[in-house]
Amino acid sequence: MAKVSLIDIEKRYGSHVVIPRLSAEIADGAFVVLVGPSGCGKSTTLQMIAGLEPITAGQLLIGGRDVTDLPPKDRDIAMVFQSYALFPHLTVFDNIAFGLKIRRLSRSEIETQVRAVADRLRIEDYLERQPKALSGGQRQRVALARALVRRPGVFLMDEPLSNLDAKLRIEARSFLAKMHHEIQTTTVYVTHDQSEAMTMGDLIFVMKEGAIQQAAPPLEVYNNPANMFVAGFIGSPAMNFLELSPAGARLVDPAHDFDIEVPERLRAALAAYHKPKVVVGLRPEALRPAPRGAEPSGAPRLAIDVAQHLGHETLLDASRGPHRIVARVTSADDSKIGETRPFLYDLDKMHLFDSDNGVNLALVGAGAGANE
Amino acid sequence: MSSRPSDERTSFIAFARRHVFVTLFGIVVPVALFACFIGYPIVYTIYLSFFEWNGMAATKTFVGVANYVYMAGDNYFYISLINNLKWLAVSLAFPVVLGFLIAYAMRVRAVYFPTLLRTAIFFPVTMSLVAVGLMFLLILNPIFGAFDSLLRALGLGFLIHEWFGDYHIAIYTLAVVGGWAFTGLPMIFYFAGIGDVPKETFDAARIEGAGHLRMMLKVALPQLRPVTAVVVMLTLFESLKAFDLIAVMTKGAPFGRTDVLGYLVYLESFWNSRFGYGATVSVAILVLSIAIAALLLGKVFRGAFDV
Amino acid sequence: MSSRAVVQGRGRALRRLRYAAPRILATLLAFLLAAVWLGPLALIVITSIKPNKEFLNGPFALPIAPTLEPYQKVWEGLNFGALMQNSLLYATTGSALAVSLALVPAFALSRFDPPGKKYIFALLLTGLMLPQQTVLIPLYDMLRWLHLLDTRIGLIVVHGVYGMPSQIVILRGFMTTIPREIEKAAEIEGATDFQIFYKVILPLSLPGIIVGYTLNFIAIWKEFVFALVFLNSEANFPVTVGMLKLNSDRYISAFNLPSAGLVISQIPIAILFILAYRRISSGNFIGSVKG
Repeated sequence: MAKVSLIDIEKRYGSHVVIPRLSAEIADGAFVVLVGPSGCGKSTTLQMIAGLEPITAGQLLIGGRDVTDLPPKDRDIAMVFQSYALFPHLTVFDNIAFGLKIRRLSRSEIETQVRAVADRLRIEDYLERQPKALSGGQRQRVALARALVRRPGVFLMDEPLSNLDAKLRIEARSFLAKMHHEIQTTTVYVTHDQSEAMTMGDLIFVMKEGAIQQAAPPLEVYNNPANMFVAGFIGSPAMNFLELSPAGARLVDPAHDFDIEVPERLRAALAAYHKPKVVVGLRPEALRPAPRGAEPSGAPRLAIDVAQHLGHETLLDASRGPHRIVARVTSADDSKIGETRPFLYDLDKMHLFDSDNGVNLALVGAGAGANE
Repeated sequence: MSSRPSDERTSFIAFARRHVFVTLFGIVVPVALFACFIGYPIVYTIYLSFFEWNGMAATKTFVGVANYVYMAGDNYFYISLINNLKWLAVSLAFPVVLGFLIAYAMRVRAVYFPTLLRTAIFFPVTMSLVAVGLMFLLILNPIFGAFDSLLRALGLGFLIHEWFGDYHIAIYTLAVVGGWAFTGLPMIFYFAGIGDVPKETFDAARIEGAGHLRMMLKVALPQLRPVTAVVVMLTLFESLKAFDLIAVMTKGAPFGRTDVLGYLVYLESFWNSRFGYGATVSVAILVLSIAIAALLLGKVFRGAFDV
Repeated sequence: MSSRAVVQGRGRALRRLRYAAPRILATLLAFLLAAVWLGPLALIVITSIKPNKEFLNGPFALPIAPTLEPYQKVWEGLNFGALMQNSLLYATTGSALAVSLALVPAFALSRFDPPGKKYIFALLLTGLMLPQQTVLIPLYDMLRWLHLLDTRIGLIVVHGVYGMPSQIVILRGFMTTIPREIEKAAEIEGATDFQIFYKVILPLSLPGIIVGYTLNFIAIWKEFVFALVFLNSEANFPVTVGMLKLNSDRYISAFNLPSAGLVISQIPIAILFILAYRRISSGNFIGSVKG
């Protein structure tokens, strides 16, 4: 049960700076997810928290203690690896007991603790087996047990679900969430899967190129992304981006007959924006073809390219000129490939982004900035 | 894929028909060469061990097991045998252990400038043992040798012995010199092997609080069983084959106390013209090799090669 | 804020030093070990250029007036030119023979599943672990019978055949790393076994061939027993056998002479070592030997 503070953390390999200057506060008991594409620095950050990678500059505090230069064993942490890193020649029991033996607990003590954890994770029947005799899901639970049994202050998890098949992964996700709810240990969780981040975290840190783009709870990140990168990374199918030119209180592309209205709340920000182009962001669920027969004025007309029927919903790929979108509609939709239909858009869910640096215009005027 | 013998034979012919080129040059040729240059000599050696022959006479005299009886009573044989075992012991204790430690230290980045050490230790592996032997003859020379001078200069003069003259330690001197040249091999094998061990098992152990000794014994070595098996087998064969250093440095002196089995074969055959007996000792070497190898693979390294 | 950073910085530096200490110690130990290994070599080089009169200065004294005279004497006295040529011949052709003989068997064992594969592997193992002494006498007899005793060709053939097993192991290891799909693609295009071997596998095995050849080259260059037993005339001796003369009274009394001889004998291998070390120590070939 410990708070984690990263203060001006920098990571350099020789002269190559991987993480320029990262600061974050992780509250005691929080479940924080570091998410981002490969190479964004999330694993490196985790490794630095673990002590497996040296911190070039900056400070790391765990539970109020400065652990910046301490070896992993003195940091009161436990880690679950993507490949589980079980000791292949030891039994499940010995794997779990590994850390306890080092800490010189008595035999009976170790026995009790290990069995308790094994029971909880429902692997008590496998204690005498070797890892190679276990399935992927079982191995993962052994790795979890090994981490749990020491009752550390912080759990670190490096893509622990990536090696599981899709169905197991979903089961494991809810299992981990339940577990966290029970034991309330601070957890730092790394994944490249944005849906995993959304469903599991109390707080998501979206990372790119060594910097945190936005740190906020999942719904906040979804509904108010700080910049284009976050907006495009979170949510599947990804947010649609249309590059248009501002014209007063509207956004236009005359060559393709686009004339979009700007919602009231964004007009001030747009007025303060003086660049020739602006990027409009609309999530797939914020777009749909107008009902048949209706001919709303100002609705952009797009040609349907592909219609993917998923059963519970339908995804429409539509385009006009260089502008392509994906719309998420009910399965009742009957658009046909090749048809051109007018599309309605939800003003409440529209975002405007700076076409140069991708910043969400709504945040510029307001003075808030969770970006670097 | 167990099949009855007749199945194997017919399927082999079927295979041969389909893949003529491969069978011919890939199986028939090497097997023929084996049979000719390796199989036949082994059989011939065994055959020869029952004869007396001076290497030149046209006829060989059949003596039954007389050679074997002689060997059982031959003092030099026992000295040689024990020397080989001493050599094996030194080779396992010194180059193999050191090779592993160095490979481990390099992999866990415990030292700065690892390539210097690695190159230094591996270079002697490429040297001919004749060169190594001559080199250490010079260095361990009692009068002008650098080693004794060094010991004296460090105040360790009391450690000086007759490295080759004292027949209690002469074989150990030879074995240590051999170890000096050999260490690079186990080191490279372990270096590669440890590289294949998933880094995360070390990371996990480190997080659980393990120190290096524990990581070596409980994480690295258990996962290196196949490598250790190969290294030990290699060391075993090298020890039983030992010849070059003895031939160059001591020639069995003093009083045959540094004889090894390999050298004994050479001596008896080419110097005493007792080829039959030489063959007998050769057979002994072969039997010993197979016996110890089988023992090791069966008992100590049982299951090392199951994935 | 800045002063706090400074204080932090100082404490940090001290702590880092404490944590680097074991590494520094280990490095010192490593240097010591490296010295034990390189020491003898360095010593020999120094001794080899010491003129005779400086001997009484002690073995570690650096030469005041270094000279290459010992090299000259030894080169001529032992006829090193001829020795080197012989060694070169044996090593290059012997290796070439061993590698060539091993290519198709390696191909067969890595790609196909011929019935009786287990027996072939067992044979290989025997070939690898065989003590040379076991076959010394019969081989001697065989070569004599073929009139190949004391001939260069005889020794080359022996080296070639005896190098074959280890080359098969090494090359096979390399070949198993070539993805099967490439082969299947060629098969679908209608290539025969031979064509697949010659046009696909062979070119892709080049790194393995280079490594195997280099290793075999070194092994033959170092080899002593066979050369000693199967050759009689000085004209055919390789460096290893010719070097034995350095142990005679004529040379061994003046240390600089055998030292020079040693250095000369090692130069070709040292050069090869520097060129090929990267490749070998990358550990790839070790993996293939394991497999």
